[in-house]
Amino acid sequence: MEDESVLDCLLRNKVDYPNACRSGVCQACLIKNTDRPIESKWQEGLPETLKSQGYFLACQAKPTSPLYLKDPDAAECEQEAVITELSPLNHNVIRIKLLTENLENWIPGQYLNLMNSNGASRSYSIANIPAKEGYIELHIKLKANGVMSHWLQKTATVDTMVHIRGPFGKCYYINPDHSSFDMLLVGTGTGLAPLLAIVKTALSEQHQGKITLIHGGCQDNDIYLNEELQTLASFYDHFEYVPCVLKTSGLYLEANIFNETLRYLSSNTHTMQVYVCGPKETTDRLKTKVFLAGVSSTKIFSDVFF
Amino acid sequence: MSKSLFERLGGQNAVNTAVDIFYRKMLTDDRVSHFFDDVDMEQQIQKQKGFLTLVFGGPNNYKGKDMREGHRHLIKRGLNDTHVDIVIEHLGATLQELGANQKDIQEVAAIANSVRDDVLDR
Repeated sequence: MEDESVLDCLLRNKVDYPNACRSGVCQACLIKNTDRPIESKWQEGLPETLKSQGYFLACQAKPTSPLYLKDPDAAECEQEAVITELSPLNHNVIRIKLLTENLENWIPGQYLNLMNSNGASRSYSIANIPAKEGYIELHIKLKANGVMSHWLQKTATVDTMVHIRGPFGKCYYINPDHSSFDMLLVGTGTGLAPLLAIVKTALSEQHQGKITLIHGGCQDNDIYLNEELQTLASFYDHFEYVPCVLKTSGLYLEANIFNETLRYLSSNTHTMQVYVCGPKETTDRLKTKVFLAGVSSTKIFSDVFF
Repeated sequence: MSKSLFERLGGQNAVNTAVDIFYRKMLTDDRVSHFFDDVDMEQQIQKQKGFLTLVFGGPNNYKGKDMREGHRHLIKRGLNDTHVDIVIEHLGATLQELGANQKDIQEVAAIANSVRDDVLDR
């Protein structure tokens, strides 16, 4: 119908599409199209990382020619993958490498749903640059009574087949204009995974500006990939790596990530981009802190781990 | 042809610029900051943008019902007229920082006042 929004059209055809404010604010009606460029008016308020994937707001879109839609959940790829490596990174985190097709679709920093042969499905972040390295790397924290953790420890081996769906999420490196700005990445535990991917991407794209990665843990044995990150920092002058723990046994700096974050906020907070990963309470607190310190709300990206 | 309030203030761009300034004022004001404890600032920014679009005279579909439901849980935590006054105060200060003139600021305040009873569920 003329002058009818995509949302109204869906509702009129009895498609119960999620929505709330119908004013282009709440983003409940997020929907996607990858066939053609989307009018920026329909993408108002969305982060760059979603805009670039063709996401837009159904309540704001009034197309003048036919538009083919994809429900965001169904839109992503689902494909088979095979485990090529399973190795411990520390006392409770393992690294998994997956071989699969179309690696260029799996964006460093986004996350995927991994489904095993028993039908159990969990979300994990992409910790590397699949297109460059030839595999998808995941960091998985093993949980005492976890269904997936149990499967990974007892059943999964090299050559085990899994299904992956995705990628999802708006936490990835995006700098289409090759602008120069400082980046601060803060995470706890396996929050390191997406942040590491983003750091690697930024470095490989010759990002101009200081890159600081703060990795927090409760105690010394929670830190992992310490040597690799120290090496990376020694190669790149503009990359700084800061591991810290709440209670040290002598290996790492004893500090909490909230204080460290404020310490490493550069003087030009206005152009800085900050990425934050971890449990909700932690990411909420960090985001508010950096926002109050002057970082623009449009430059704060987060990935919440449940 | 005379421009609308929303156009004079700068439309959606003005909302995007104003929201960070306005929300920071709210978060650093002890009289109202406690209403924002434990929130995801990303989500809050979205809501504040909706609010600013509304009071800047921009396009919106907010109904009185939405304002009531949206603030009900805060009324339980003591939301009252004083807080609404403080919001209007910060709105004015934000607009002044952005160079809006007094007349327009007053028009914005009037729109904000017009939803007072909805916000306070009266």
